[in-house]
Amino acid sequence: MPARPAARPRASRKTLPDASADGMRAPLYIGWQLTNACDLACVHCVEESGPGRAFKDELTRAEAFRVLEQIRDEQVPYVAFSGGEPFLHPHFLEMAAFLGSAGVALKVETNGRHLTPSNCGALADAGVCAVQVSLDAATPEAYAKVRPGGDFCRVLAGIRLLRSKGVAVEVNFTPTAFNVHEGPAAADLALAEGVCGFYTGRLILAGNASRARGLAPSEEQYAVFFQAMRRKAAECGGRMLVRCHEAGIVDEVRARMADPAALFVILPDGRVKLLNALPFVCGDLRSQTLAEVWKAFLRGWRSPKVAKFAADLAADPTLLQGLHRWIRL
Amino acid sequence: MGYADLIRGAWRTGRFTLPARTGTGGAGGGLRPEESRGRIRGEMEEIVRRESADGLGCLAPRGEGTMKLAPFVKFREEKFGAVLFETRSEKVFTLNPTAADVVREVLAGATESDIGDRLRIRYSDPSGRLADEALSLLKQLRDKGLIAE
Repeated sequence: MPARPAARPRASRKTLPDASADGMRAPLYIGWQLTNACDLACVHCVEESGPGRAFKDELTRAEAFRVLEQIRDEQVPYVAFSGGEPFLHPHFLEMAAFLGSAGVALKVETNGRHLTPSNCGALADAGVCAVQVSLDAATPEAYAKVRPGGDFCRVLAGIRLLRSKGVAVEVNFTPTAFNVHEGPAAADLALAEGVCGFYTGRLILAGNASRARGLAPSEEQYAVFFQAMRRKAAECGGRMLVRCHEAGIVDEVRARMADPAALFVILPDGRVKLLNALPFVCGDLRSQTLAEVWKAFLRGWRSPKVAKFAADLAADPTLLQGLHRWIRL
Repeated sequence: MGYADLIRGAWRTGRFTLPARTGTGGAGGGLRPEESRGRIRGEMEEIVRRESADGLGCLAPRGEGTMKLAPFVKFREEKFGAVLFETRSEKVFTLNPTAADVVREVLAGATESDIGDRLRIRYSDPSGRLADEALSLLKQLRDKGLIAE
């Protein structure tokens, strides 16, 4: 082998949301909302999901598998299935198994109601990287306030089942005025249950959450909550990752504008969004390839429409209420 | 068309040289035909070795001292080098071309001393400075849990 110019071998580290799209040949991460249907109607849901709310034109099995094949072929390393509730998608487990066999790391974000022995076994067999379960409370009473009709004990049992099958579990805690006080205890509970990551941050007032009155914690409540989460992060170091996004969505959009991350969101009907917190659609995987959509994604971030929305959002965060009125770039 | 595809095409068609006026860059540019052929053959061997390691890594016997990527760590080639992605902690490591070469050797099942030797030859580095830096990188990657014995 002849000589080639060689630089000192170097590895630079970033966490996922900060991993720049610049120079990447494909996304590093895809968030895929498999269906808009959910069997809970949570007051704080950032989507407009709920019972009977599947889109009329969600991807068919054949269309979804065409996307999966492109994810494999473009070597996208990491995918998260969410919804709605992914277990309500008719081909969810089959799709998870496909990604597992293709060597793509998969995270599943679920409300935790479907973690039966059989489903947990299927997720373990698919080799999922982690299952993120929404558990926004430390007691059944607080849980019921934010997730009407939900069953706290059933979710906890599901987490134990996953752990018994060796599946890594994360917990997502969305703070509202009704449950924010239970944040620290929920983190303690998660740690005791062998959970590996506890994710939380500011409530996003979009989707169903934008229609509920008095839902957001006050700034005083947030201050106490964030301080407690910082303490938990220090206490749990090495045993459970505690990640609390204190900055909020406006700051996130500002950061993404400056340096778009190598990730995008697939909607249940195959359209692709720049970011969950933005209404802009940059492509459609029904009619375009993943490679074409990736190019459109990179162009999309440079659109004046996106810059204007981000600037307007900084001045008026209530614009998030229109997040689900999608705008094609 | 990617670099690997260009090399593959050149190997398949036997067209190893570029016209003189465009022969300042790319594989074979400005080289005599036999030099060009040797260079492309070397590149092709590396591609085949890498692809064999990617596809059949689980079947290849791994000797003492060999390394592999830790579970849930993904590697992807990029124009700037490569990325290592630790999907459990969601940490992304961008690698420059030399670091990407080191990780490719890990994927191919090389030991630390193999890697040092190969880099010394590949980069005409008799002093071994680059090989030492590669070993230091491997230690960093091991400490971060990205590669395992």
